[in-house]
Amino acid sequence: MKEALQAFLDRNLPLPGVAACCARLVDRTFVSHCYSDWFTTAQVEQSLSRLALAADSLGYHGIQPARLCWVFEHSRIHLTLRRDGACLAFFVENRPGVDNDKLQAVLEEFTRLEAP
Amino acid sequence: MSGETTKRKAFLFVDDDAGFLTGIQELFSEMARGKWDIFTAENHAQALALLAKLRVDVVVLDIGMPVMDGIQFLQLLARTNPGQQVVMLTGEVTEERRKAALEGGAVLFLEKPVVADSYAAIFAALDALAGALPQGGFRGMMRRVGLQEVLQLECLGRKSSILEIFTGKVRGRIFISEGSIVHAESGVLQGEVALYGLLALRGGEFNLLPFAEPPRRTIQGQWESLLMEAARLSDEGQKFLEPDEPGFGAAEPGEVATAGALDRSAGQVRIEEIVLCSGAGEVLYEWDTKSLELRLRLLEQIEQQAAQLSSLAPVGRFDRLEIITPDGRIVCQVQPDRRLFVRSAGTKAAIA
Repeated sequence: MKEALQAFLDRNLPLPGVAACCARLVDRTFVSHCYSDWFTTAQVEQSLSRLALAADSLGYHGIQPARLCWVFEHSRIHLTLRRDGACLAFFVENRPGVDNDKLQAVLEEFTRLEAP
Repeated sequence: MSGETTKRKAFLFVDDDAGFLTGIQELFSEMARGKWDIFTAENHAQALALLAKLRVDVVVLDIGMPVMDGIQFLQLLARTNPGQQVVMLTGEVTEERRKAALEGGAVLFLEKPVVADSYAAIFAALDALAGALPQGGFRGMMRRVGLQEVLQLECLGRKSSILEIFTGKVRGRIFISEGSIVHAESGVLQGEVALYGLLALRGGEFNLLPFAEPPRRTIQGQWESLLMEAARLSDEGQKFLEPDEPGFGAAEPGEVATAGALDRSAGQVRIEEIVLCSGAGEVLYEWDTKSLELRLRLLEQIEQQAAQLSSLAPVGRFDRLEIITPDGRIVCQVQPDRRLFVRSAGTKAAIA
């Protein structure tokens, strides 16, 4: 899936306002890109690990998340989860000009990517 | 000579067994020696027609009746004739029936005797119950009355009473002692939190019961201030539901996160659950929450996870988490002064 994912990211990114993106595959390997110096690769990968754990823990509360958006003061982190366990996060700046519809469309497309 | 002016006691027996009604009328008339008026009805329609024309002290209901059983009729009576004393008299006693009857407001749950002698005990119980009824005051019903109005009446009149409130899912009591609200309880909640939660209910039923000392007095302060605070919190709760955001994850941090974001795309969103807490975690408003404890734990967990994320990357102060699920949308907002959980259901199209 790594090649398919890479091609998918290359095709859709960068997007206005997206400072970084990071995907975690089923085998727990990461594919990440930082489009500004705001985030480092290590930061986004560690963050994604935390985000995935947090999403898992929602199951205890009877919540089955498909997509999540963590909204912070300076940025928001969009996370989408696939049924096979892979997930993708966009680290987006809080600024005008962000194409939210496009972001959602890309996240949605990620869930439909064919697994190898 | 007889100076006695004893009030005659009136009873209505409702039973689909005409033979039983005839028998009980003859037997109890004899036992009452002219002090009872006994009316009978073979179904709920006859009973309602009689109750519309006359007032009885006690309605004695059979449970196993066709079309509308006694338990259902009991519930109907609670609406049509609130305050009416009802005794259930059945030949089929089960714990489930007893519980349903007493929870439905029946004063007594009695078994139909199988031997004639035992009817004396039933007679004595009914006679005592009818004689124990309060004689003063009015009995009636008020429609579309807010709980605040009822509380105001009680407090202004410096009354002592218990306002019992119940909806399909919520049961609670507000204790008023000499015009002061002294205690409230609703589920596991007690004190002002329970009071505000009960006063925020949008509909339901209530009973005013004689005052009894609560397990402990948890509320102090002027009733006027308490009701004003309840109104303010209720308004605040409503404000959270107003749609004001352009879409999922698209509002500015610091704005009130609501479930209204889906409204504009679909127009078919139903709020299903709300929990609003103070910054200290005190529950201020709760609506249709299945497990309050679980929701409070979730908000706490999200706060901790957000703090971890803030320490990992330069994202700034946490505002909220928005979750899209197959059924709808959830917003969990954690701010220094409040914590909010809102769950809404929307159409699939809206979510996509």
